[in-house]
Amino acid sequence: MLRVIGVSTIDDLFSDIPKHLLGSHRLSIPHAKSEYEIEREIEETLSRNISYENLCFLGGGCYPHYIPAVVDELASRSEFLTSYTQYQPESSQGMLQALFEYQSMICDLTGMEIANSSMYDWATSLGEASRMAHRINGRKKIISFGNVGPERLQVLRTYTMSLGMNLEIISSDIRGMVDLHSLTEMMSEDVSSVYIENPNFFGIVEEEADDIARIVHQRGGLFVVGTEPISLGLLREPGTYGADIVVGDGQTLGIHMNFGGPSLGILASRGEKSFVRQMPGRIIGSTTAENGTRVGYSTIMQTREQHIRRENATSNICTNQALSAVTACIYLSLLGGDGLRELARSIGSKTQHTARFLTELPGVAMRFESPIFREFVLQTENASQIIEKMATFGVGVGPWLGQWYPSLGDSFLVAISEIHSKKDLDFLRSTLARAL
Amino acid sequence: MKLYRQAVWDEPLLNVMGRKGRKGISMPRDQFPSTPFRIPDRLLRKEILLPNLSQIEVVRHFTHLSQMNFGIDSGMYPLGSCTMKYNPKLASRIATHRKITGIHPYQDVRTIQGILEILYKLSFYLAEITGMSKVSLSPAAGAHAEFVGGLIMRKYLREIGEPTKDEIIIPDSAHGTNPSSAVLAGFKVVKVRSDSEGLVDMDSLKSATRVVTFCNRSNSSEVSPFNRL
Repeated sequence: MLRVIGVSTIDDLFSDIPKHLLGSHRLSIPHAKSEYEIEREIEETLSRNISYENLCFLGGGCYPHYIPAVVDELASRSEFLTSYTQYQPESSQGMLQALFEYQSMICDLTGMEIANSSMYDWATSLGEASRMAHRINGRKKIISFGNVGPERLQVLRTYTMSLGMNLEIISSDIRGMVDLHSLTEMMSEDVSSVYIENPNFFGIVEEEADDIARIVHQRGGLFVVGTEPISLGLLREPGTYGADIVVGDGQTLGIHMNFGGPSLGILASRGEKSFVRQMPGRIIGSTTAENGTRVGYSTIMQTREQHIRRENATSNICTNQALSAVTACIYLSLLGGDGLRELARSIGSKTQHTARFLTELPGVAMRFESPIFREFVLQTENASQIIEKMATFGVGVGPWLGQWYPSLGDSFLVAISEIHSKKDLDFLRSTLARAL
Repeated sequence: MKLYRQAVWDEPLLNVMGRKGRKGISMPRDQFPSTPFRIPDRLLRKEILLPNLSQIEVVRHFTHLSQMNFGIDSGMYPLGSCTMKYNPKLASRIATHRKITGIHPYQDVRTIQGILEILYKLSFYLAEITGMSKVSLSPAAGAHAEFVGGLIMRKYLREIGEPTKDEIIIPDSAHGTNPSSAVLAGFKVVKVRSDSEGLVDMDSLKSATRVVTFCNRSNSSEVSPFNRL
């Protein structure tokens, strides 16, 4: 091949790069191996991972679900898997249509008017949503609560500190819910946005979301709601209780846990121009193609984005989770509205059953007596040791809440999904009894 | 010239295809149908408009859409900005290994030694390739990493008592994420022009440089050695 293109060594191909700019030292990384040797080596390394499989009851933002064979099969089709970002619509119509349909589904699920085609994950969606709110109203304060994801709050702080924004956290009340009284007191004309999660980090369904929205809007603030999409098969969509921006994680929509990523950041908002113009990320639109007879899809409102607006862009996001969004779209197509509703109801009733079933054990109690969905906070003595002991029996529960909340050192999360059979729940209880 | 042709399907939107009573997948039945949710009715949703489809409809829809999409496996993709590379198929197979896909991030550290070893080795290799001493695997994308880098510099400058150093010089040949990431991290962007060769215009570069994208978008390597600055 070198002879055909008229050079004698591979180095000749780099002859236009000045010598002093070429790296000369040998990299101290192992020599290339054959495909078989690589696979064998990785297999050996991976044999030291243990997947809890159907005995994984871990929650806290990432959840085990059954992923239909169709989802993996279609999402890994190489035309999707190996395609570029959709700068050239004529060669990306398939992906663009799938992303357009994903956006429509997210709008339906959240009850919002517009959704973008993906962010990295829930936490970064939240960071971007708060910056978006600041661009819309120019205010500098954010209020959130002690019952939202603690790591998400850390990311929120990281995303907003360079704007000189001030994040205030209000402790949740005795029910584990938003404390309306404190919110009313803290709410002022300089609050840009108020962020709640529903269901919140403790799995609790907020009972007064409508009132929260009213309090926030009375002072001209924006109401940002974080949610997990399967819960929206059962619970009211945030758009019906006054959310201005909705964020969340699409991991539960057919995406494997993958040790925490890649995930899928959801971001949807009200449809007014003032919102859409400030939205971060790609938005896919539908149009009529040149000959006037076909529908075509394309990225729209690109003047918000970094490749056009550079330092004045709404965000720096470029690469995003397009493949995860297509995956979520396939998953939701399979379930449909009816399937999603059934799935959410079955998780809802199983969560209730499990909470009652586990608290029949002496020394095990519910930390909060509130409506729950998908996960809940159990209270026991020596909570962190119990989690460790259960892991040695092959059962995953947690995370332990004492790592973030000094007052919840005796508490941990337990999460439930359709993958858990009655037998699995029996095993969970007997293991917990042994670990106590 | 050999032209690439791809399928064009008149693929309707799923919303139009949905029919009452169809279902693409059966999930495990509700095992506790008589257990009350204990969630007040006023908090429950009334309707979901998502279309109901059969499995074969979903399979055909997305197969058709994939056929209307061009990827590295379809042919050469010389579009720049992010370089389009071929990923060996073994990498995809390993990434979808059950011992990775089925792992929860909050698992007990004793149960994730395999994946931690892989990530540790990756950090070591990346440090070696870049000539750096430490690596963070947290950023989710290149632009995200620029943002993290900006935040590290911002924090560092504050810690050494130089909080007024709040500008980043970025050539106009840099990728659009460079200036937008700098702003996200709280810096002001000072633009410098590129010359007729597509390189940083040295006359335009007045003050000390903190960030310059080494390989710029026109893909000419910057010849000016930065240690001169």
